[in-house]
Amino acid sequence: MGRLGCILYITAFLILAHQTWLFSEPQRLAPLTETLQGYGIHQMPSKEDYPESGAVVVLSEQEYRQFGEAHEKRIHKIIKILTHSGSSAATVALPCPTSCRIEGRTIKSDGRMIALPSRDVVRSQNRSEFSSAFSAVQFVFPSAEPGDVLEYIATLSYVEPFFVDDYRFAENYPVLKGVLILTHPDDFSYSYIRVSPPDTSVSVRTDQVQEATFHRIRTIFVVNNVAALAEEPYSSGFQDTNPGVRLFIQVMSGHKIDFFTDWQKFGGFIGKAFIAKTLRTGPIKDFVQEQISKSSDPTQQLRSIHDAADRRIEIDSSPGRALSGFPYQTAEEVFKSGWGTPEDFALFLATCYRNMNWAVDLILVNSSEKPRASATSAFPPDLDLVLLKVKTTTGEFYIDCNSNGMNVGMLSSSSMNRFAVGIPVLMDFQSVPPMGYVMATPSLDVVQSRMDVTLRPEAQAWNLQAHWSMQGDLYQQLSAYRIQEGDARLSTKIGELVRSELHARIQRVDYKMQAGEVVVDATGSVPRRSMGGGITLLQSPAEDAGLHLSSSLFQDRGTPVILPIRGEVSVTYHIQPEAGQSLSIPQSYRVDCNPVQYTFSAGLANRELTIEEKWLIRDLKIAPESFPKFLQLAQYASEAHHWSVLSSATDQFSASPIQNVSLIPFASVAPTQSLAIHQNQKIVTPAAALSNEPQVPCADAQRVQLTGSLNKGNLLIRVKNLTSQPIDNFDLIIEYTAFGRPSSRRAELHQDVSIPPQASHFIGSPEEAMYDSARITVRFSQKGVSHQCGPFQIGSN
Amino acid sequence: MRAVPDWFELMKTIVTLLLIFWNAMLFAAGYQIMEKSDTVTIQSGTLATEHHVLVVRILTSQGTHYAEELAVNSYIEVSGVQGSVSCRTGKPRNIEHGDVTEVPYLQSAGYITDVNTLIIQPPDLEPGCEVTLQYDRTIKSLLFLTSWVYRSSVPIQKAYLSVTYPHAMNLRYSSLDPSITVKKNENGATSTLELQTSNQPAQTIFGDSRSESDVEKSVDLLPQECVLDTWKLSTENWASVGAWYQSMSAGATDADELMSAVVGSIVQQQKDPEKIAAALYEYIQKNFFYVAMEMGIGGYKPRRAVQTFAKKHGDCKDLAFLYIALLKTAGIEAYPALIDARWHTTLNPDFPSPLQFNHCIVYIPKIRGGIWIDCTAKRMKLGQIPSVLQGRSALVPGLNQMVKLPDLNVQSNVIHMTITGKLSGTTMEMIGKIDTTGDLSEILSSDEDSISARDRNRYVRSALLEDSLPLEGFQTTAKTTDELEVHLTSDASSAGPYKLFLVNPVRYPALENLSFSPEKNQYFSLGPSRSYELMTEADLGSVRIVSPLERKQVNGKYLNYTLETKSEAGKFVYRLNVSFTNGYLDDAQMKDYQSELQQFSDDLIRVVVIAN
Repeated sequence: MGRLGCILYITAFLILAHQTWLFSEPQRLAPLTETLQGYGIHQMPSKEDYPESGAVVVLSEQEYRQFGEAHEKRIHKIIKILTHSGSSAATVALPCPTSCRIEGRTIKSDGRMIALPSRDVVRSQNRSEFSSAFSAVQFVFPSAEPGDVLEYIATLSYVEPFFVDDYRFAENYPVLKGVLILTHPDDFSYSYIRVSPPDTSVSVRTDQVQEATFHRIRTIFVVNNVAALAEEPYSSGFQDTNPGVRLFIQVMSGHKIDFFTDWQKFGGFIGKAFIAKTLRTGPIKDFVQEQISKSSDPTQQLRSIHDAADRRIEIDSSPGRALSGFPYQTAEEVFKSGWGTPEDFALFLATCYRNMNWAVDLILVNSSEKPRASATSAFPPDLDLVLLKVKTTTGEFYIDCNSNGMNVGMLSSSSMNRFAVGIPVLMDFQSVPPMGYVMATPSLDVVQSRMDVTLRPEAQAWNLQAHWSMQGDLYQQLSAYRIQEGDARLSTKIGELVRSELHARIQRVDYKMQAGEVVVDATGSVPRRSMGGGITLLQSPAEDAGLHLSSSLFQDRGTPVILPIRGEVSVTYHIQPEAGQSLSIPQSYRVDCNPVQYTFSAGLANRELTIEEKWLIRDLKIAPESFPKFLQLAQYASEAHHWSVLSSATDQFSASPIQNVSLIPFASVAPTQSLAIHQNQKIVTPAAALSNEPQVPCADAQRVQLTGSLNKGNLLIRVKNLTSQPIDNFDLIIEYTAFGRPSSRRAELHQDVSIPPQASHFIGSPEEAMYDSARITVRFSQKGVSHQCGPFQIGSN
Repeated sequence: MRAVPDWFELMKTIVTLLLIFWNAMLFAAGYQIMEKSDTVTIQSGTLATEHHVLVVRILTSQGTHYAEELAVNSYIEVSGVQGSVSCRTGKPRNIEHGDVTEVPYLQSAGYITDVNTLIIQPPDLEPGCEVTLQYDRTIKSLLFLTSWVYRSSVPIQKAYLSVTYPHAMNLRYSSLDPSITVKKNENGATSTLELQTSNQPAQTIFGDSRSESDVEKSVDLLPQECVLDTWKLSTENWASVGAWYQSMSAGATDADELMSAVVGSIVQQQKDPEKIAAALYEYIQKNFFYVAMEMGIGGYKPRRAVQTFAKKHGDCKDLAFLYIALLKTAGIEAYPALIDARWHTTLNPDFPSPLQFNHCIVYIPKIRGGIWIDCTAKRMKLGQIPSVLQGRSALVPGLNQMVKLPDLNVQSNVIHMTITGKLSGTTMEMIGKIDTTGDLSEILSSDEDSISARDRNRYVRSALLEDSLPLEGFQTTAKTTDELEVHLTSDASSAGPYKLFLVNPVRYPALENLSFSPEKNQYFSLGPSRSYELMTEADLGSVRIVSPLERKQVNGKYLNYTLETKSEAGKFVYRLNVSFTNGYLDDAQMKDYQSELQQFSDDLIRVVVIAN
């Protein structure tokens, strides 16, 4: 039977199956105790077991059932309401794809059962001649109150095969037992990666089941006692502490699908769809011609095309990207509609640039918001940001396509210094299949916000003059606002921004936007507060450009903090005292807490008090292990940021010596990380990067070869096993310095890995650990005998 | 409590849907309505047909995302959608079938409706393009007749409404402002009302509890006699509207044996009607949860109390009728009361119509001379009502008259915070309590029976305290359902011979309005009134206080405050009481308000200087 025939057969069979419920077991709720005992739950939890939760999900089971070209998702939940606030669990809304079936009931505390009447299951119905993009089903459990158990099974049918899911077990309420089941025919195959945070274990077992005349393979994942999802500020939508299973297809109807496991092949898969069309005539050709006619300089041409496209096309990064087929809009569609996803925008630009005969690579980036991706752990949903790399005759340029308002060469904080997959963009006439390559995105030094505030005394107030420069993400936000709302609205917005950042009576605000920078000048006044005894008080009038790193951010928290921006945020005050008055000088601090440095300095020179406050952020993600140190950092910063200066004619104030604080957070380095090194704006492959690494004088050189390199904080170490025996009990010790300050502590990283004979093991730090230099030592054992290699020094000492 | 209660949610939903896109254009429309023409033909007391024509000009790139959204449900059919897009370059393009999509209106799991949205997305828009759109609506209940919006967040160059109706029908409509010209014609058996206006500027609203519908201007239409399902509605006067609702809800307050048993157990313990009413109110609050289910007639008609009692959930009118049923069983006279819970609408007494209400509460006339109860409010005590309802008039079916609710204003929404501190070296350890009343009780009540200590700390801190202030420690402990104990620690900073310590960490959200730049035709919603009462009492030992001891009292138009520092019984006492009023301000009023806020900000003392 040919492929087409096979598909028709499967389709016909599926239709039959839907009519006769051949595949789907009768949807009947079994006796509750029987169901629970089947999962080893012998006692229903009580309020005492979960004193801080309104409800508990006793069983949360989700099953993917793959049939030929289609699949079903079956959701089975058993929820106990513990308090009145848990009653919200009684309202349920589900998407209803091709079809959906619902069965539910409320089991009262006295054992009575009240079935969910079908009339109470509300399905959205088409009420016009126009097609519906989606439909939904909603219901409320009858008579639900604290003490009751709610149970439902929903079966949702999809017309496409099941490809991939990053399934997570945590829900809004704690889950006692989470179960994920995947069943599929034997001509399908899936792989999985279990995500088991500390203290949680996802167990797995596989068996075969017989359904009618078909053998089906079933894989069951189980997890116990999952904490409720936490809503925390500065948190990514994805929580590392949430156990789960990453499922992806490998064989579909007997055909191997390898692009979910290999970045190179994934790059090839994307590259086949991400094709630049040859522009012969038409509106895009005219558009390109109009832009390049403004200058003969390729750099200017590149910028002109980008900027015009940025003004014309709204980038909408909210819709999730489809994973089966990547249905990009064509460049023509994007140009017409004026709307597109980041990928659509990138394809539009790539089409323009490739038609200029410039080499273009699509760069898909793993942001801090997503689980960490690496060269050896491919999972395409982890790539959530889109860049282009364009090579003209005048240079190589990055373009961040994730939001409007960016300039050529500018990267958002979340795009910088991250693992990425590069994919050369082909023209429609090219037949060579593209291949992906792994890389790290550049790390740029960005001054996000720099404000200079001058305060001069007047009779009733301090005269204030502020000069504020915003670049990077702050510039992008204002630039995007200008594109969307126009100059008049931008002017209002900047006025509001200045007033929210400066606690002063602002009288005048002027601004100008220039290449990659917004410059604001403001004047106003700050009241002089008389505090009695002939002294007056001046308090810090400026905020921190929205950074808000308060101590509460790190208290009682479980999920990593994702900082909003990287780079520098600083305010410098120049305070001129009144004649005959002396000014108190706040305590100076310098607090290092890798990857963040906070400095606050105050000093009197030439009768002017200068106070400088500066944040330097070199990475966005702060892991929970580091929170105790960051809590201290935030407390120092909060204390310093709210500076008070007393002015007195009778008192003489003197400065306290600077207080240096070195807070060494836990520096985690991902295992099995292989990275390209970013060198002077050029991306080189790992092999090329490693060829330049210093080799280490190793005491046991016949056993291992240890090489390493450091570039802009990116640490890459390769341990090669030269022997015919595996290396085990691998232990890496890094003694490092950051921000130019040597550390007296060291991070010991116990890597639970084994290095096979003649194989290399890579360790890299694409983020989190930002080093100036490091001393590396490797300890390992073979057949129970310990060895050591190093230490060796990389980076400047 | 729900910030925006739900009654007649269906109507609100439809209005909301019609305005969804305008809301999206809140900060800049990017397009303007060149012309809108709405032609309504009322065939009978139950049927009308409408023809709508809209001409929209795209002004900016933001406007190229213009889409029209129409609500459809079992009473509203939309057909004959057609239109075209004309741009400066290229041929005009017709709006095609594929440019229109229908989607369900899915707001949350707890809001269930049969309303769908028809989204018309004109293709290939660019600045300068003009979209012409027309469609027909068939209305099967005249309560869903078009609401003629003539001023909104989008500029409207020209708006026209024509309503043709049987001569014998008395068509009523809500009030008109002088910018509208009115013409009436009679032609044989039919009459025609024509309304027209032009050059209406865009109006927008900012601030708390804002909704674009708060500032839009529209005319509602309703014949004096019409029929909703089988219930005849007369809008001759308020009494007739009340009678309509009474007939539609007949039997809804009947109780069954199980309900009687609940009442019986309470009456056994309490004899005083007020205590019985309070106990039954608490019973509703603790045992029933709110779900908005607006399906067809259910948007207006309450479920029977026995149904709600069995289901354990309902919307505002379901819960109100259940409460009334329980009260009746206990022998306490009670009535439903229809009211408007939108912040900035005012009742038009000359247009008796159910369209003026969106919420249902309960009126008990013989307790304390008449009290009002909102059964969707989870933490209020008997007699307390959300501030959005205070001072409004409600229609009481049964009494069939309008009754005014008391206006408690700022006194009903108060946060009290009392702290006692002791200075040891450079550390100020403070312990105190926080309690709230009225709407602000939500701050303490957020799922109080299930919130973790960790989440409560974070929630209370972010809601009540200025987060960026240098507070080293902050812990809360729930003492009762109305009160929290707080522990705070802060370090006094040294400045030569002086120390500065923090006495006021309270967050005043109103101060964030200082950055807002008011513009013409922009309105600002202050949201609910709020009062903050803070007292910090600190034991400084023998340390001398340098800061002056003073008392300042300011009574402004929009906020009043008293700030006092004094020494009392060997302790330093700091007291700040401030009340921010509610309201709805235009640009000039907003500037006055900001001026008062600025003065408050200047006067606000957060730290005190003491000798080192």
